[in-house]
Amino acid sequence: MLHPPEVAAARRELVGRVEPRAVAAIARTEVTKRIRNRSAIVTAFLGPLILALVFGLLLGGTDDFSTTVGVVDLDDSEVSAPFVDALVGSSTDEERTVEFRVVGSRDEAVDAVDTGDLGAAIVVPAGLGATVLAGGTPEVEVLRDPSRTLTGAIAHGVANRYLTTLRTEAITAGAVGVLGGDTSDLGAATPPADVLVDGELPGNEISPLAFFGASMSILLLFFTVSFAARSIIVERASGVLGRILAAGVSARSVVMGKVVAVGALGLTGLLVVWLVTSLVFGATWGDPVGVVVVAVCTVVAVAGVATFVCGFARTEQQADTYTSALAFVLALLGGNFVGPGEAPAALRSLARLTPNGQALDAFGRISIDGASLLDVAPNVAALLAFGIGFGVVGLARIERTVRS
Amino acid sequence: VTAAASARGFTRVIVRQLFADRSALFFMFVLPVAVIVIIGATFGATPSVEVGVVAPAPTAAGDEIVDRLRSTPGVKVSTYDDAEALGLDVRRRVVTIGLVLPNDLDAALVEGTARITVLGEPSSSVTGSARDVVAGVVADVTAPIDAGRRAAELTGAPVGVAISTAERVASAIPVATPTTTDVGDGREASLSRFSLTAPQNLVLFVFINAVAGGAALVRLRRTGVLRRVLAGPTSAGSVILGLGVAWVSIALVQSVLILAVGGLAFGVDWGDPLGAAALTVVFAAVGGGAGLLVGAVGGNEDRVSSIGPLVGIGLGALGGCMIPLEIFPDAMRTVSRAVPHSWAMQGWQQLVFDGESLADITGPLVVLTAFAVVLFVAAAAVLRRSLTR
Repeated sequence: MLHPPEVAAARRELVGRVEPRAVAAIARTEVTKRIRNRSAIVTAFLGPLILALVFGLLLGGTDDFSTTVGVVDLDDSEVSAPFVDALVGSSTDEERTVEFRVVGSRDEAVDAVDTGDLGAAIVVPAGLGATVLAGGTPEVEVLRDPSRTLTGAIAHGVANRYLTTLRTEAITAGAVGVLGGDTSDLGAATPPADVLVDGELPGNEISPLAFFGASMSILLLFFTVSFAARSIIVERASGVLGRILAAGVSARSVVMGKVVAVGALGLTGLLVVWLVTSLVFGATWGDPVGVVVVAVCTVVAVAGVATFVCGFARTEQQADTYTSALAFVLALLGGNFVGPGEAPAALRSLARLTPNGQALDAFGRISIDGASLLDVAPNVAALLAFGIGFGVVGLARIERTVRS
Repeated sequence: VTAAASARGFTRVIVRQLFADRSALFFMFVLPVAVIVIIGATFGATPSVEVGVVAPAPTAAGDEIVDRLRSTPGVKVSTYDDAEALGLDVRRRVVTIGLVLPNDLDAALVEGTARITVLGEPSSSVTGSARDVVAGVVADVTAPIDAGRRAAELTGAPVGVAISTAERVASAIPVATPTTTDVGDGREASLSRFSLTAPQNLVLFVFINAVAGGAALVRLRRTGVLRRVLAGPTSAGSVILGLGVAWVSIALVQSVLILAVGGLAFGVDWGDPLGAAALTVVFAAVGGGAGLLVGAVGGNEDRVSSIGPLVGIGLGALGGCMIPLEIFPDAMRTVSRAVPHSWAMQGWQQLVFDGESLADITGPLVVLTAFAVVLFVAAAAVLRRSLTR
């Protein structure tokens, strides 16, 4: 006759066993169920694809960005005229996305900016030339529509460069004066040096569609993989789980079956988004080997974290709550919503502590730097650490739920 | 049972259900505020600039440029060994902008041949202002040297003497920066940096919540609660009206909360109170109508609660709630007019940025009312059919 401790040991052995056939059968059933009730189709395939297209199309538009900036020359002096002429002259360049237009008065410019006819305006006040020639501090005003920050920043940059040029001229005139030269000869000297030159950037330009394809897939991956824990809670409540266990299937096999199913769905979804955005819409994701490996590690990481958090859920509703909160909080911290690299520095450091941030960084390196798998090895290691670290604890908790 | 009593009853039930569901509360209150803070800090902030510098050999002018950048408020400097690595980080926007200083900067400045390479991603919205900051600092350091070189050329004075003269002159000429005036009727003052993100997230989350809340109606329908209500002395019309009022009330509560947090915690001036009130009510009605329609059509509450937020995010993005309408390509701007969010954003833009009043936002209000009416009529028709079938 077996003693109680031996019974416990035998039970432990039974529940801890992984039976490949049972795992496969449970995984197959789970995938079929998810596809039939369409929940996985939305979270794994359609959702990320549609959101990526929406964001990609919207942000892709920044390339076509064009605006008109008004220039009001109230000074009309030898100091201001060359500036205005140079700006308006530059508008004829076909490459330019910013066009400059002369406007008669400040009031007219205020109206035009207010109604949206102009994106912003630069006002050169009366007396600017005299101020500069007298060695005073010139003032230039930028009128902007506060809701059009980009155009405002462009106008500010132009005005700023103008003031810098004026200051350099004033210093030159001052120095020539002190050294006993004739300041009216300034034009005879070599012109002020253009010290700053724009350099060519290496690598590829950020592909908004690839970025948001990855970013939205990762966001929705949380929902896809959380179906594992959720389904266990539902089946436990409905008694289905009890019947599966009574048939001699181990708790670990049940949990593994569910996790394999949602992992496969999540990975397939991510790969489909990659293929569709790159083959149909020409998004540049970079080296396919790198993309696939990072995709696998991302699924492992997200599955680990989501399983860990859902392991605390006792009801279906709690599982939903935890998943939504986790998905959105990590997406916010990880930079999934703010566009490629637009996050402030503090947020970027926080992003590195999330699987989202690590995955987006890895996808970014592969796509933009043309990085190989070896280059993103630290990201891959971090993702696997997330997945294994949280996953092991989470699976143990869920297994306990199954047995209880 | 009168329609008013039915409305009260349903509102009470739905609100109670809502407060029992922490996920709904999270979406309703916590997430909108978190997003306003994060996105506001990202896009609305005085630009914080991270400058990457490659300086292969120390030069007096180069060191001065780096020192000045370091002491500029809001600027963080990181150093790189080579321009390639810096360029890639600019591409991936790890740093905002890059500067490559040449080895022979000092001598080249005296000769007038100095070239400092700026690496910036043209498609990034912050490159322009970052370039301004960097150009300002570089000009501060190089302008006196360049001026001295030119003065030496014009006067025949030794270059060293001319440069030190120019440096003395430069110290007496203050650096000027352009003044910025925000234009809008009676609003020529700077607005809170949350002024764009607060209305964006108000519109985004009121809609997401109302649509995802449609799951509660699916549950009421599926579990037979509505049919049981009809078994009593309540007409189908009263039930539908009651549901409509309940949905709009919840959207209103959420709107008022975001308006209050925006106003009190983030200093957002929502503009003309009458206009803001009208816009809030009308958009809450649009959200309520959409939620009711989704709840009337949806067959499975899980699907509604998981698809709702996605639809809300997609429509919100199209309507300018995530990326400003300003930078939409033309075609997408046209598409956005089919989404109620873009009309709401236009209304808020007029109220918040242009300081306009109720009368000026009649256009958006009329369009939004039409959206609300269509959604409610459709929802009522579907609900009536399913209730009386």
